[in-house]
Amino acid sequence: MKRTGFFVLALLGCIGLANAQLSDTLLLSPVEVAAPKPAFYIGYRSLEPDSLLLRAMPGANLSDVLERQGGLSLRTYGMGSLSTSAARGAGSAHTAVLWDGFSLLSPMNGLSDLALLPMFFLDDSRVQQGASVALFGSGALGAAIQLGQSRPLNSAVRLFYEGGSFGQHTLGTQLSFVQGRMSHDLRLFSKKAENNFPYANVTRFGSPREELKNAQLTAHGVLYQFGYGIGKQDSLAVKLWFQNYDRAIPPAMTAANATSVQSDVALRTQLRWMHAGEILQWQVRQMWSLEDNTFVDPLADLNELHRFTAVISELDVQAALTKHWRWQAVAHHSLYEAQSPAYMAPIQQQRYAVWSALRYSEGRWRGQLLLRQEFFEGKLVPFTPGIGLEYAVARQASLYTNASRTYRLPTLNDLYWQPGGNAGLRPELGWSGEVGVRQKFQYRKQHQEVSIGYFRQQVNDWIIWLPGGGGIWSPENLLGVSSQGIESQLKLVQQFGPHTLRLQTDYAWVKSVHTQVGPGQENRLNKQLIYVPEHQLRAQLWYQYKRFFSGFLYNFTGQRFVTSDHSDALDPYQLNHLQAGINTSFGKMDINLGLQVNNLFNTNYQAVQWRPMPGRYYMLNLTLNYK
Amino acid sequence: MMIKNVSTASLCLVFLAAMSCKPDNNTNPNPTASYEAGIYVTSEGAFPSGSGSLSYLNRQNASFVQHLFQQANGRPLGNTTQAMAHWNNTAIIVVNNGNKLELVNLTDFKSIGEIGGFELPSRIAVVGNKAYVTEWVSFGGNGRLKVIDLATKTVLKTLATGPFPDALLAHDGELYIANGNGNSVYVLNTTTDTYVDTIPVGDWPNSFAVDAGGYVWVLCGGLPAFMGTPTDASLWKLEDTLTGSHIDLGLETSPSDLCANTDRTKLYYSMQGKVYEHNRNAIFASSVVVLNRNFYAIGFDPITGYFYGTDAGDFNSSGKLLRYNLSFAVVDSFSTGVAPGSIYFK
Repeated sequence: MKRTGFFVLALLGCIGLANAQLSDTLLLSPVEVAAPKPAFYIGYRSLEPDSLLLRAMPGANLSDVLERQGGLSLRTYGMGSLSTSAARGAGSAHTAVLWDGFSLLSPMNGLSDLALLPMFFLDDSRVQQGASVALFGSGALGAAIQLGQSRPLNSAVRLFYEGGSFGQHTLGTQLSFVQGRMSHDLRLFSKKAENNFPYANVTRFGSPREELKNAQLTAHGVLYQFGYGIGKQDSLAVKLWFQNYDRAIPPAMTAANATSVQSDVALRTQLRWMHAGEILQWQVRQMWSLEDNTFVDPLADLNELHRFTAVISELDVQAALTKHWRWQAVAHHSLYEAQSPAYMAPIQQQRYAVWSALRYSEGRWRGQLLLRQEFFEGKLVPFTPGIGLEYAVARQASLYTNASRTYRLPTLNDLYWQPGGNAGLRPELGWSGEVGVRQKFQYRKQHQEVSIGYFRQQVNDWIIWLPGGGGIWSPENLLGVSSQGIESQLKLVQQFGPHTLRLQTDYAWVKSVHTQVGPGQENRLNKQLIYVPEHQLRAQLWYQYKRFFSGFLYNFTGQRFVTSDHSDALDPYQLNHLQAGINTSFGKMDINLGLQVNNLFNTNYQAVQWRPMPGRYYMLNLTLNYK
Repeated sequence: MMIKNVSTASLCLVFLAAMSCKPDNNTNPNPTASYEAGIYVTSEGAFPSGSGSLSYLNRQNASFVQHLFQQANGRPLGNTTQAMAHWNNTAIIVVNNGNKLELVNLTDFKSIGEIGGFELPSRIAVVGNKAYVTEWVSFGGNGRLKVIDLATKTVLKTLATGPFPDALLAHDGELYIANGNGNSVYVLNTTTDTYVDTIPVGDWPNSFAVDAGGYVWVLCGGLPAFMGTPTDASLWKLEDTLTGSHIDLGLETSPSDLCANTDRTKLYYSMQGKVYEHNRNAIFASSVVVLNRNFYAIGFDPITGYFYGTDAGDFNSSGKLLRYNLSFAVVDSFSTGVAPGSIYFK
């Protein structure tokens, strides 16, 4: 039964291949994002959510979308619960999460919870894989998640409601107003969910069927962005993002109950002045954010507030030196302040960085040289260079290679947590490199894209928390981790008459092992890291007929070890989702009606050991667009 | 064509991976074996939501089963497995975060039920037909002691304790309860199930032992610096039920796991990655180190006199049970579950 989904996909995939001929008319219009896209990253692979996928699940969070989209390995603790990502066999703190280029990673724990990022607030959410993402600085060891909002092109009103199983209700409103050089965009978002799904508790006597307790969620948010064009070459952008998530933390199957709740409040603002001249472009940009995490557990007698503020300022200058040469230089400053009951006193940390990129493009060749130098805690982080090359072997095919040094700074918790924090920690250092080939093919109404790449990366001085003699856990630079893998993507679009089929797959083989361990940890040497699946596949098959569309989504996640000596592991699982929608118009009003059947075959699985996941469940959504 | 090949290869790889599932656990480890006597190790499981487990060593033939409960029952014990005791032919396993006692037939180690309704049960002692079970209740307030009638599996009585009761000793008609985040020991009469004494000791008492003279000893970890002004760790000898004399063991040393050898002439405890030996008649802190190893739990087998210690390693992989002879030379070792936190001898 577990393999049913695989055969269905294989069958549908073969049908799609046999009939390959299509156009990309299903793609939405390109998104215009207020912050310009990075122009200097040659050779990276970019995965963007399918437009129909987003249309079918307007109330989703980023974790929900990535689970279907691929590109990253997720560690999800349950519906709406903590979800972090791991790329290319690295850890949860090794993927950069960037909002228009500003890091959203917490300086306290180095993480960003993907379940706290509502897709309704994000027009752009792409996963970039490649060594060149190291240019984003600490923690970018193979992948970066780029987030952003597009600037509205027309005045419009959008309203959606999504509801479904386990008391899930999401409501969103977007008001866009464009007048001359000025644009306003206001979005309001509210979510409520009980998440009290039933599951068989296989850890208890008689495997009783239980209902998940203490899993409710409420969330509210507002996003506002303002854009103003000044003259022909200058523009101003302001963004404000506020949200509040209150989540109960459900118990693991192995625990009887849980009483803890967590509140995450984020206030982020962004100010950006852009000048786009013929030869010279520059930006001055700043982000200020405040993030509160309040954890309350009556059982543990805990009521703790963990807070940080971040002020990130950058000056970015780009110049077209000649027809073939472009140059970019960025000066960066971060000021972090954090307070926690676990710190002896409020902590302030400043980081300075300068980085530069030089790009060459002529004929079949494109190349880039990346240089970054960061100063942290008054010391120089080792210099971080990177290089990338791309060669077009034919009009539709190209080879690429990338190599870069990488690093991750210790978090404030690593340095200052009491007890155990280790102020003597060094940054994790490593390198990353890859080679690959990509091909795009367009013939009449047929569009095909395929890419396959091989990567290797090494991280040394990997920080790990270990217990000391007195039972106090403390972090040390002890581990070395070597990763290699193959990543491949396939996209086929085929159109025949009013019917359109699209198949998209993302497969990754990742081998990530410990090559250096501390005393007493020999049993993890040369073993795959925990929670890193060796095989992972995401596939989507979309069908569209006039105003109707439906999609079959497939997720295979291979075996994951949960103990570092491989004495325990989670079985592979396959998930299948079905999505469908219909669109109609009345004058200026567009109406979308969508349905999701998630976990179609009621698969019993665990993404994190002993954390219950829902069986089959349903979602219905209605979106009104008025232009 | 190329596209098709790439895609097909990818799908085939995944198919092969899907076929190579983890082999099923044997749910009948050894139908002819009996587990009625031996050494039992409870392991807490990986933090924060891993499942505990129980390992078994047959002291006669050194046969060892790493995950005995899982293998016999096809399911894990629960988070986190804390301690074990026995009553007649029933093993009683304390599952802390699972808020339950798991009851197991010692012959085949099949589960025969559970007793629920606890709030963070931690330690257990069996006296006659009664089980005494401490509960943390919460991490900040006072704990509780529940008296269970094992014949009817009902709660006979619930008594308040100090904060974090985490060590129990049944001795000479009395039950000693260490208030682990306090500085006192409660004494309960096990006939009347009423408190008869409160004995002041050092901060954070964590383990008991009884010496050859019948004296009860209490080891106190002392208050660590991250909790405020640190206080000395100390070893207390309860001369009578009202007072005790003690030996200072220093600041921030966090000793734990007090136990006595078979003839009870010497006491042993873990401290800062070493195992210290303390003569029961000594009046100063011992400097005798018998083993240089950081154990997560230690104990003496009352039948063979061998010393046992568990090593939790990185707390994210299998731990180890190490067996030492009377000269503290290692005899052999066995892989346990993750974070082996207690050893029970029967």
